[in-house]
Amino acid sequence: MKWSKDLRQGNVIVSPGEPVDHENAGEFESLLIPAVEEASRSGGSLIIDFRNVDYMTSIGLRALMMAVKEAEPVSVKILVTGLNETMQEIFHISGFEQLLAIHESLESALAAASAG
Amino acid sequence: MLVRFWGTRGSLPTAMRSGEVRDKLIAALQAANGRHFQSAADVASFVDNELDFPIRSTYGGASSCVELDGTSDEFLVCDMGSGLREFGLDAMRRSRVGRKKTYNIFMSHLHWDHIMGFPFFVPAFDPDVTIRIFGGHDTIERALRRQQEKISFPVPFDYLKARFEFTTLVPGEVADVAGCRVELIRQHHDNDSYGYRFFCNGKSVVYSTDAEHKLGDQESMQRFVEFFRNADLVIMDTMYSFADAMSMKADWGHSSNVVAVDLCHRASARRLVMFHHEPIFGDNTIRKMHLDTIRYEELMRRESALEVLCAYDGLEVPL
Repeated sequence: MKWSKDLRQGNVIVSPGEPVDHENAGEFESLLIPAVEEASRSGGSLIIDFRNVDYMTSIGLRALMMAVKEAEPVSVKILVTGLNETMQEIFHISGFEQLLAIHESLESALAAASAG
Repeated sequence: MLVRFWGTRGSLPTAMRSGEVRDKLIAALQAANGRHFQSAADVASFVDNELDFPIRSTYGGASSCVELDGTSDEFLVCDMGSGLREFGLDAMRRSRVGRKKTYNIFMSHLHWDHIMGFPFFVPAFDPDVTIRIFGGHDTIERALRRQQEKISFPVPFDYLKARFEFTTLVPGEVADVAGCRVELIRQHHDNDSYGYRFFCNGKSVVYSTDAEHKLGDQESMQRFVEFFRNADLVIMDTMYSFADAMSMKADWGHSSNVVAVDLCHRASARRLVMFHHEPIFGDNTIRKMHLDTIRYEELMRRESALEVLCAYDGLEVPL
């Protein structure tokens, strides 16, 4: 899966580069979980930038939930940004907008992550 | 063939309260906005064509019971929730004008909401009636007898005069019943549940309720995709929001609208009927969930469209 990772001010920023569905959700999860672990080691948050993701099915959302469950015991905050209109609707319909902190921009997510 | 919904609620039957009726009347009169109607037909046209479903109707509150009508001269029903009572009375009316008095009942599982209608199934008192009950569980008769023991119900099972046959079906095997080829699949639910695929008169109907889908199990998901493959109608448990099903209601044994659409899309099914509604949801909440599901299907559609319906007590879907 197309994927990029960055580290800023102790926060791990990951950017999947394609839609997530049943064909690549396993790979998405296998990249996301280590990112949570890295954020825990660096004492920061995990920011997932979805700007290059057109859509995500339920299996992709499940991988996000697995990351949330991995993050909670180690007090890693997960923030989401870069949602296009379709992704915003998916997050709304699925109820995931209640579960994750969603930010309009990467800068806003970084500011929230730094605020603690 | 006609698929007729007699009970569409999960867990527990529910009834509309008087305050809810009042709210609907107020909303209807507001929508009429002082309009003058010339006749009852005019009023009916306004109600049918200009009022949204939660105002002019209700999703109902009987628990799971779905009929496949027209597969043969016998009756074919899925589950015996509280909706079975009204089905039984209507079936007797049809038998009075010639319909054969044979009932074929397919059980998803034996939790209370899916068997609670049976003690009130009036055809069971008729010695000319044959009742064939099919399921993946070999404990169906025990469950039905137990709920009619003296401590729970005044009429014991042995008082029933109909002829009973209990048949255990096996996943992977095909049964020929009432004009349909029937297959079943084991589903994830406490003490297991079973989904059914009926192939009748050239049409395929899947009844898959009380099934939780573990999305991390790709093999299991693929089995369900194949079970749903090209189905004309999929009746599926969409009880919880996806977020609830993934978090606080994980392992509660139910599914969500989002998973239902994704599975049906992967299987190229033609129509989805949302089913087994949460009993605490009122009509407005269910309607919102229906509209959200239609929108989700539009967003996620890659090939052919999946029509999304929402079951209510009394819905009839022709195939």
